[in-house]
Parts: sequence; C-alpha cells; structure tokens
Amino acid sequence: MSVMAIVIIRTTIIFTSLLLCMRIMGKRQLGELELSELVVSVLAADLASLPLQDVGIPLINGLTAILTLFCLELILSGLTLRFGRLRSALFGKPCFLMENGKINQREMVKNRFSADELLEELRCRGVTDLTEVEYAVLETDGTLNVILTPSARPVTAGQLHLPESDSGYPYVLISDGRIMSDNLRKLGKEDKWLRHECRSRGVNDPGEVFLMTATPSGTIYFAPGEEKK
Amino acid sequence: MKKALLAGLLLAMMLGASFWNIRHLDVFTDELEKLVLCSMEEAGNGDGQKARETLQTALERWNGSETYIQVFIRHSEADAVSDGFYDVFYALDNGDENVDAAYEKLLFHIRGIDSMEHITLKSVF
Repeated sequence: MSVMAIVIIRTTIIFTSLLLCMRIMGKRQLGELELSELVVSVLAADLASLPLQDVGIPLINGLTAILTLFCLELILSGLTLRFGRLRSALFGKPCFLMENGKINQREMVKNRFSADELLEELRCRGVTDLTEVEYAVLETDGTLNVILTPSARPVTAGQLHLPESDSGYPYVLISDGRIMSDNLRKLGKEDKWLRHECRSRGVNDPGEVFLMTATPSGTIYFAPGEEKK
Repeated sequence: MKKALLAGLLLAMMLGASFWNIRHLDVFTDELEKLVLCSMEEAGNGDGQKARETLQTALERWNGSETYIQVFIRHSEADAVSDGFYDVFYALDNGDENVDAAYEKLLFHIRGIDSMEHITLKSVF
C-alpha cells in the first residue's frame, strides 16, 4: 500500500488502539517508560524495519508512519501537560499499595499485584520487614516507591545536629585513561594539577588511570588501571 | 505546547501532501488510461501502427514519472504496469488474438494503482 494518507490513518488507529490496550493492561506492563513512550518505541521499531526488510515497499511509507507517530506523541504530551484530567485518564494516577503501614488490598487487586510480588518489590528496595513501610506507591511509570516509617528511616546529619558539609558533586576527571577536560575545567583545575595528583599516587601517565573522580571540596577517588596482559 | 502545535501543523501538512498525492495520481492515471483506451480503439479498428504509436506515448509518460512512481508506489504494482505495457506491445507486434486481453490487463493495473490511493474503509482496514 503506497498511500501516505492511508499510512497516516492506519498509524493513528494502531497508535490509539495500542495506547488503549496498554492502558487497560495496567501499569505493571510499562517498566520505566511512560505509556505513550512505550507505544511509540514498540511501534517505531517495527515500522522502521518493514521498508528495510521489503525493498518493494517505498521508504516514504515507513518514514510517514514514523513521522506520524512522532507527531502524535508530541501532540499527546502537549495536551497532557495542559490538561491534567486527560493525563490522569491516559496514564492513570499513582496508587498507594500501602498507606499508613496498611496494605490497600483493593488497589493491589486493581493493579493485579499479588502479596508475593509486593514483597519481592520491597526486597528489591532493601526492605524485608513490612512493619517498616509507611507508604508503598505504584507510580504511573510502573515503579514502586517505598517510604519508610520514621523509626525505620536512616538517621540524617540534621537529626543528629552534626555540622552539614556538602562535598559537592564528584566529577569524573579520568575515565579509562581519557582525560575529561570539560570536567576538569568545571572543577577549576588544570592539566598540571591532574598530572601532579596522578604522580603523587604512583602513576606517571594519566593514560594509565582507570578512573579518577574529584569533588570541589577536594575528595579524590583514584583507581589505577590494571596491567594488561 | 509550542512543540505540540508544531507537531499538529506537521501532521496536517502531511495529510495535505497525501491528498495532493491522491489528486496528482488521479490526473496521472486518468491521462494514461485515456491513451491506453485510445490505443485499444485504434487496434480494434485494425490500425496497428497508430495503436503502437499511442501506446508508446503512454509508455513514455509512464517512464517520465519514474522517480515519482518509485518513491510513492509499491514497486510490485509499478512493475506490473510496466510489464503490462510490454505485453501489449508484444501482442500488437505479433498480431496476437489476445491483444484485447493484454489491454484489459494493463488497464486493470493502472486503475488498481489509482484505486489503492483512495481512502476507503476497504483500503484503510
């Protein structure tokens, strides 16, 4: 079929149908992608391969379909950004699988989450004791976020009234022997300083360093490269 | 929202281009069909030479749009039309009794290209 209009209509129909199907299937199917992003990625990969597999199909058909998908995705994200209700209708709302320490069985059934799966998800987040969980929120992208009860939360420096010091973001200065000049500049250091730091750690050539990071406060992580056999 | 509007505009432009494509193909296939029908009539009147010349004009028109055809029309359909032309030439040159059938086959392929371009429930689904 070499019709641009038909390709556009077909793509729109498939996009809408897939979106609806995935919406009905629920968040569990999504992983970490937004609903429309997942539909686009599934469809785009397939659509792109068709004219490549069959040279008898004009390339413009594949391109038109992909461009249509791209436009629909942009329109949809624009509309959902503007209209909150549309966003909720299409992508749903975060669900509390556990609220105030209690399992919300209705939400569990609605999202087809079994008790075993909930425990598995909690274990993945390092939680083994259910009494430590205050909230477990199933986000619209399918991830489960866990908020612990105050007694189970890690102690913070603020709670202990310790002096708060931010060492800053650790910049990668050498990665696999390559000097990251941009990061070095952001840190306000020079090549000479970097070589001096390497030499002081027994490595003469930065090319022999596997990984080196440094924070603005001066904390340095240094991993020399292993000798290649 | 600006991006969404631009995407909407792009989608509208693509739809517009597709309708232009339908119109262009309508005119193109109508022209071809008329030439082939004229050639068929001339062959029916026993004027083989005239029929051949008219068919040659139609073939030149078809070959003249080669780039457009290769870009927008499924290659198997385009090949069927090209083969159809050569089948009619062969039938005319050899005084074949089935020349009318060869003409009908060519017309069927030309009309097929045009009908596929039109938006109907059948073509969408």
